Amino acid sequence: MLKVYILIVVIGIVGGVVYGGYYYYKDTQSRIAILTENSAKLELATSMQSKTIDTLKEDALKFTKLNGELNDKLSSANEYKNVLLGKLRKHNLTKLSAQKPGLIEKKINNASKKLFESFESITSIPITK
Amino acid sequence: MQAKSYLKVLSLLLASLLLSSCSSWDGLKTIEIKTVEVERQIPVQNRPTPVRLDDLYFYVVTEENFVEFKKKFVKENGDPLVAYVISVKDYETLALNMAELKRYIKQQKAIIVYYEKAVAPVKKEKTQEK
Repeated sequence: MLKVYILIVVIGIVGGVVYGGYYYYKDTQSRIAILTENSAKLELATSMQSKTIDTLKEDALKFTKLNGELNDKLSSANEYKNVLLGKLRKHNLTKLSAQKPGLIEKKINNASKKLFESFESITSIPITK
Repeated sequence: MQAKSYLKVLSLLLASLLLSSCSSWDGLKTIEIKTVEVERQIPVQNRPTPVRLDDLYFYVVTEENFVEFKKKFVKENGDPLVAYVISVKDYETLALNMAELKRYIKQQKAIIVYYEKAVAPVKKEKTQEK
C-alpha cells in the first residue's frame, strides 16, 4: 500500500515538474513572441521617424532655397521703378522738353513702347521644361 | 452494454471539449494599423492670357512748336483740334504709376511661382533612391 502512495507522490512530483517546464516553455515563447513583435514595431516606428525627419530636413532646405529666390525676385521687382525715379530726379523733364521737344517726344514714346512690351513679356506664359 | 460504453466515450469527449474551452481553435487575429504617407497632388492651374497692349503716342508741345503740332495733329486726327493734355508733372506721375503696376505684377508672379514650386510633387527618382 505504501508503494502505491509513493508512486502517487512521485507521479505527482514528476507531473508538477513536467507541467512547470511546460508552463515555463509556453511563457518564454509568448514573451519572445511579444518582444519580437515589439522590436518589429519599434523598428518600423524608428524608420518612420527617420523618414519624417529626412522629409522635414528636405523641406527646410527646399523652403530656404525658395524663400531666397522669392526675396531676390521681390527686391528685383523694384528695380524698374527705382531706375525711373533716379532718371526723373536727375533730369528736369520740363526744362528738357522746352529745349528739345522733338528729342524728348521720341524718348518718352520709345520708353512707353518698351514699358508696354515689358508688360506683355512679364505676363506671358512661361515655357515649362 | 455497448451503448453504455458509447455514452461513456461521448460524455468524456464532451467533457474534454468543455474543459478545453475550444482552446485548440485559432486565436483572434490582431488588427494591424499602418500609417502610410500620401503626398498631396495639387494641380497647377494655367496662367491667364498675357496682356496685349496697343501703342499710344505722346506729343510734346511747347509754345514754339504749337503751330507745327496743331497742323500735324489735325492732319492725323482730323479737325477740330481736340486733345487731352497732361502736365510734365502728371506725365511723371503716370510713368511712376505704371512702374508701380509693373512692380506689383512681377512680385505677384514671383509669389505664384514660389507656391507652384512649393506644392510641386517630389521627384520620383528621389523617392526611389530611398
